[in-house]
Amino acid sequence: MKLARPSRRRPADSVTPLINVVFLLLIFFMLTGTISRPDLLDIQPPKASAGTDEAAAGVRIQLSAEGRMAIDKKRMTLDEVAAAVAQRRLAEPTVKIVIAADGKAEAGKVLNLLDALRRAGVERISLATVRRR
Amino acid sequence: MQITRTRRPVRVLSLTPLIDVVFLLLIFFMLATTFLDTRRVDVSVPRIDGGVGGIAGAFMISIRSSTQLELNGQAVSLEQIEARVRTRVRQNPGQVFQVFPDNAVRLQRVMDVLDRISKAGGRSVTLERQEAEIK
Repeated sequence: MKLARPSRRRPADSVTPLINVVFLLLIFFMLTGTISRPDLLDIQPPKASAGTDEAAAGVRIQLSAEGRMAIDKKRMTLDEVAAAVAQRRLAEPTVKIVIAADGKAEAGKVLNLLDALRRAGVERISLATVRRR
Repeated sequence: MQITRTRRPVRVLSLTPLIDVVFLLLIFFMLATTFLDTRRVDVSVPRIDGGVGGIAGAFMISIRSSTQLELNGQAVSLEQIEARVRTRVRQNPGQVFQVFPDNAVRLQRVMDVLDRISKAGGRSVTLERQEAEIK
């Protein structure tokens, strides 16, 4: 006996739930994350529970664990950092300076940088930290 | 004369380009966002003459190594520093707290101390070099 194969018609999968989920993910990432410019050097700032929310930094000086320095996407020596900061301060004397130093960097390296900044006329700086959980 | 209205077929709006765009946006935000909660701690850069209120009211914390801390020359613990800062802030809210880390100390350790000072209410903190290490 020949049985006719029942035509199994698959109902067209609705794309709507998929789109719903994708939209939800999109909104989640848009709201919870922050978009920041990636650093040139690999830096894990020290953890701290105190501190204020990071405001937009005028100059962000990166200092890696090995003591290398950079501003934005440019590697610099200590003198170049001081010169860049001094030049920036000519245009904008109250520019906010943030030192994003690695938690494993030696304090002496940070002190060297502070010395150079002081010679450039800087009086207050901020140290970048990551919130301790 | 009766004119039959021509029936315009309802065109089904294709969702595919929309989904494409939404996926692209999703991937962009997934790659570009960071969830690290970055913050900042404000620090004063000391002047070269080092004159921050003289010796009488000085509050000097030396970070000797990852375990050893000194407050005005006496060995103390992190908890003691926090308590001492708290009482000092009550007496003099404008007190400047000078932190002198040794060159070889890791920044994380320095930050632990700054964290305690900040938690105890200290607002004005300077980072300075040990006198003996200025050459």
